Amino acid sequence: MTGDAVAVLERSLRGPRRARADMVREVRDGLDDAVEAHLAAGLSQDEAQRRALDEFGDMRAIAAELQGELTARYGRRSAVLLALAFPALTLLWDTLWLTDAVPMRPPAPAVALLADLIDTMSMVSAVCCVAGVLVLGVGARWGVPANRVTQGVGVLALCTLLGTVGTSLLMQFVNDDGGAMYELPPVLGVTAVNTAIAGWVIVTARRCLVLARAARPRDAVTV
Amino acid sequence: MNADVIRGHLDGLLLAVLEDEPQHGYGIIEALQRRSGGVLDLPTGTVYPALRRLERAGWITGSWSTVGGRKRRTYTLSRAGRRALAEQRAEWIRFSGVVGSVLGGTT
Repeated sequence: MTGDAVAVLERSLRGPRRARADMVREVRDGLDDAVEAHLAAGLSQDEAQRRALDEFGDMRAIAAELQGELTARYGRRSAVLLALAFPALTLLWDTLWLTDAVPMRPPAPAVALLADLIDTMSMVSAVCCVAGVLVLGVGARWGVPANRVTQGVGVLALCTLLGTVGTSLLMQFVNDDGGAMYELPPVLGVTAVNTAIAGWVIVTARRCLVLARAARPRDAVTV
Repeated sequence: MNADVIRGHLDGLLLAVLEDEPQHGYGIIEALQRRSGGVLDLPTGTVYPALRRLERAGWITGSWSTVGGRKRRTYTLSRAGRRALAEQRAEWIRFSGVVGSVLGGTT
């Protein structure tokens, strides 16, 4: 009986596998403890399980609350990694120019302006992600809705990626010397790494949005 | 006792239970029932997401440890949690004083 209820909980939760398993195990342990206490009080196995489940409350309501915590956890972890990923995307390119790994003439003013715009977008996004990490942490003290913040992290990641990739493409269009440099190994390497990071950003942002939707508040269950 | 009222003060109740010693989930539930003389009748399942939220807030820390020969997720009150508990106690004293004055009657 309690095993079936825990299985329902396990199937309904979405999020990082280890955190999910952790929460399910804790609930299972708690129900086992409750059953043991009722058995010690003289109830039969069936009665003890039924009583433990009655006292536990609506499993779907508890699952919804645990989902909120799983979503917050994923949002927070994602915000930390995104705060590092976006500056990394721009720093890799900056390293090429600063170390003269790629021989180039000084960029045209328009290209330099677009490059600065990309740097600014990355830094602003990183700062917002750091704020997201803090809000998803201490914000729990004041009931800040974690699903909304996680959703915001996902939207921010996608918008920043679109902005930086779009601006990069525009830079290539404006910079009439840009095509040739992609034949150089250092540039190919940085492009490959950036593409991998961009792919990770898309997957992470999508997961933030999916988990935020899974953690939308439901109607309160009266007890 | 109105369960919604209890839910509103659940954070403070959980922090208070953890003030003396670390506890695992079911131990916290038993302590709540014992210390309230059985009056607090909250669905026991609500404690688990509340504990995770308090952990995220930095008021308690959770870890797996062996209790009575079995692995249990045990929670400990943090320094920030002790400060929060002291604030909630002070706020409750102020609040109950004000409500008591308005409601009147003997106490």
